[in-house]
Amino acid sequence: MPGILENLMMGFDVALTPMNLLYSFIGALMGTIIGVLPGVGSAGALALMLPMIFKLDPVGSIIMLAAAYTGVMYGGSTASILLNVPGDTSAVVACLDGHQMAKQGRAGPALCIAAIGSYVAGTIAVVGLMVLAPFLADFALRFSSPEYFALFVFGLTAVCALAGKSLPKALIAMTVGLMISTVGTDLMGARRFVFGVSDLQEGITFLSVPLGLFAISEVIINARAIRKGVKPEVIKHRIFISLKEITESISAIIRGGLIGFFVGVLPGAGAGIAAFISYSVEVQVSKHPEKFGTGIIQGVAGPESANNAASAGAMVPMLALGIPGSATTAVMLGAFLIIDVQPGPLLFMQRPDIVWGLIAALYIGNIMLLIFNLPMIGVFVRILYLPMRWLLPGIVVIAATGVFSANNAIMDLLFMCVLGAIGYYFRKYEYPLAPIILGTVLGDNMENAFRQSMMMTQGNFIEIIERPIVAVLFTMSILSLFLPQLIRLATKRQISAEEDV
Amino acid sequence: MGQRLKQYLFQGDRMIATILAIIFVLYALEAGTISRTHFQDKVGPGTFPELLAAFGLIMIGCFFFDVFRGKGETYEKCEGFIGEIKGVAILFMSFAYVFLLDLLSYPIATFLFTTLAVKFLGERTWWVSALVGVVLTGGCYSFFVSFLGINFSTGDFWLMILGE
Repeated sequence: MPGILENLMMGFDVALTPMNLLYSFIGALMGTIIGVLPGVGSAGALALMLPMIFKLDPVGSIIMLAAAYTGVMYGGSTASILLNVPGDTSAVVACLDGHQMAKQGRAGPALCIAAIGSYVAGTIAVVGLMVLAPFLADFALRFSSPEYFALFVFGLTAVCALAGKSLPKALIAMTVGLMISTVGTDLMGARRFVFGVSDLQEGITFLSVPLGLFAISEVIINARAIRKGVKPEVIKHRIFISLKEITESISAIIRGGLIGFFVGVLPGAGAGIAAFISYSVEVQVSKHPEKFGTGIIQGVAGPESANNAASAGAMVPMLALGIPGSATTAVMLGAFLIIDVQPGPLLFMQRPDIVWGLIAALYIGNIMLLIFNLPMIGVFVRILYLPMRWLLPGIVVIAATGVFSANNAIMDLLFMCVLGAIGYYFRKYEYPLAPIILGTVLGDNMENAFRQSMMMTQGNFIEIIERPIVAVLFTMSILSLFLPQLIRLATKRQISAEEDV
Repeated sequence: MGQRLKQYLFQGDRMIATILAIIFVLYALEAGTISRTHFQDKVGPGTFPELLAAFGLIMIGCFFFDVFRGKGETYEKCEGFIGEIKGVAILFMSFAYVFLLDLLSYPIATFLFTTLAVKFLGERTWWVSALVGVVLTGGCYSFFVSFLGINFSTGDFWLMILGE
């Protein structure tokens, strides 16, 4: 421990020079701005900033990228909360309760708790990164395909169990999401559900799914209301968060921070999955699970903390083993290689200035975000005072531009519109949207993990579920799926028995 | 009988389930044409989609079982086909925008879409609609194209006119 503190002090010495603080500020600012826009994403944002590395000093450039990474994570949720336009996979969950809060005039508290949660969880994750990095990197390597498959099953079932009133509807929605993910070329090169359309060979671009389901369906609902002559409610938006809201969110933030960090450590899991798992855990532990999706602050605090912590967690395998767990850390790895630094077990000994400078920069980046974003919340919230008739076409244009910029394909835009229609009717008839998104996010990885597991065991599924981590995760999946139903049934019976008496 | 069946299968959330059941069947049929094995492996590219289709159909069955037990929800009546189409007019405008993007170029298509959509959504004057269109188009174009360096279509129509 004294060694860690000494190293951390050295890291702060490196990161706290005026020039490096400036780099950190620029990184956080650019990350937030780019994060707000759909389509670019954290990997894209970092890739856009990569050429700057050639002009900056090595430590400064890594510090700027680290700050940008945390900035993108926060920026993505701003558009989700205000406009129901998720900037990235990890920001999708913020649409569920964050946008509902904004509709109720609580956009300020939602953005505040996202900033505070990001800061606290980022700090938890940085501490985890310092203390547990070598040990966790070793543990993450124990996760092979069967464990990943079980983790993905758990993620899906946990969200489905509590998404909406009807379990079959949630599971149907999940199946639709998984089906979307099967379109395109699979890991062995087989083309599926392509129907001769060359644009489909790469599969459906993920971003068109949340933007269609959330943003376009939101536009349709509001446009329909305007055309029907329903006058939009004049809502006075509260800018500041109350102490009660902060105290209500503390445990969700801590849970989100821990979940985010540990999920982030797993290569391939990513911030989006961390946010979804955190959301489902919050629903499970809440005394009022029925309020989730209606604008409950824990529904924003947990996932927002988780996605920020996951970005620091993802650094663990990258720094300790040289294995990038996500596209974003792969770009970071590229940045390391550009400045002639090879991440891996020897990095902590050979270039402690870079490693500890990066860890300190992540922490400073979180403080920058807090300083920069809290005063800006009032400005962000003013967007909601614009007339709906101006805002709605703007949402369509931003969403379309974002989706197009991801792949330069008109086909993706058509999918976005089709999914907008699907999202509209699903919302109208109370089919939950979260399982579709999660199915699309996890589908590819889940299928690959399933197939690799079956190959490993020569098609023997029993051998898969005999593995300890798999058994635990499958048990948790079954419990998360059926326990809430059983509790609901038992409560109903108890109430009717009491009424009979 | 026909009326009851129509009510049972095509009203409210049941209509979505019925459409999805048809899609799941078609998906299963297509999945059946994909190989179920891969070289020596027991699972191939068709296995997962087939399992998915089967699972989806079972869930549709569970949903209708719930409906049959009287757990189905009731929803406000649809406004008829024409009313429904009018209600989602902005979606059709979005589709038109997507097609025009390739044909007329990003700035022109975006300006046209935003101006028309703002007017359609109740803006009183054309010039305010056009002003909103200019601001939105200029803002998006300058940020995505000038700052982020993303390339958009220059418009097939103009290329055709110029004979390129």
